[in-house]
Amino acid sequence: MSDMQQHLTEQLQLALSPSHLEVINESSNHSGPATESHFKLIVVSDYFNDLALITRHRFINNLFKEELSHIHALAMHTYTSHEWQLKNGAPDSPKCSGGSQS
Amino acid sequence: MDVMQRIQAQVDSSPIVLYMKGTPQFPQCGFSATASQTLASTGVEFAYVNIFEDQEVMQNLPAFQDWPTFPQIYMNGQLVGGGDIIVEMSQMGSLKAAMEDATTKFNDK
Repeated sequence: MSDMQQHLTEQLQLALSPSHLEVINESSNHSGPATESHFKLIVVSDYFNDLALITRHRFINNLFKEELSHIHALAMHTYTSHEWQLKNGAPDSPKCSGGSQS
Repeated sequence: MDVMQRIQAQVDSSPIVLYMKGTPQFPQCGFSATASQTLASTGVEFAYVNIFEDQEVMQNLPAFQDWPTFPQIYMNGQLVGGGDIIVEMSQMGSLKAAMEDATTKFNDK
């Protein structure tokens, strides 16, 4: 596991006590030399109960304010345990078509 | 007009505004491509701004409604979220209704 992946995992565990957590490094799907540029999070936590999606995403954006200035993309899929049961998995992130930077 | 006023005028000018990298025809980022395809799949019309064509907007949009990444989707001037939220809404079946509702409210103004 890369340093950034480890860091994101630890911070999310501390902040949200997730019942299911995946921090996936998708950097190799994308153009450019960076190896820690694109991550996808799947976070299942009952802290999300009754929170709108935008509020959940804002919480994670704020948690990783500093990190987001280094990483190019952070895809987020946030569920309550109930939603996760209904759902069975998060959507795939798109492939980057390259040529751009944030 | 300063840049924040300019962004405000853009999000107020259409019921649904997508800020993206590139255009729906030539998206320049996978997340922007997914967002525009997902919005288009509803059949409801939306406006877009290519942030690569306006560096000032690109630099200041994250501060506008405190959202650090692109794409960003606004409905009636309010940030709905980024690409992941649009995709989730589409999968939950609420996206088309939200877009139609935004369009109706905009036309009633």
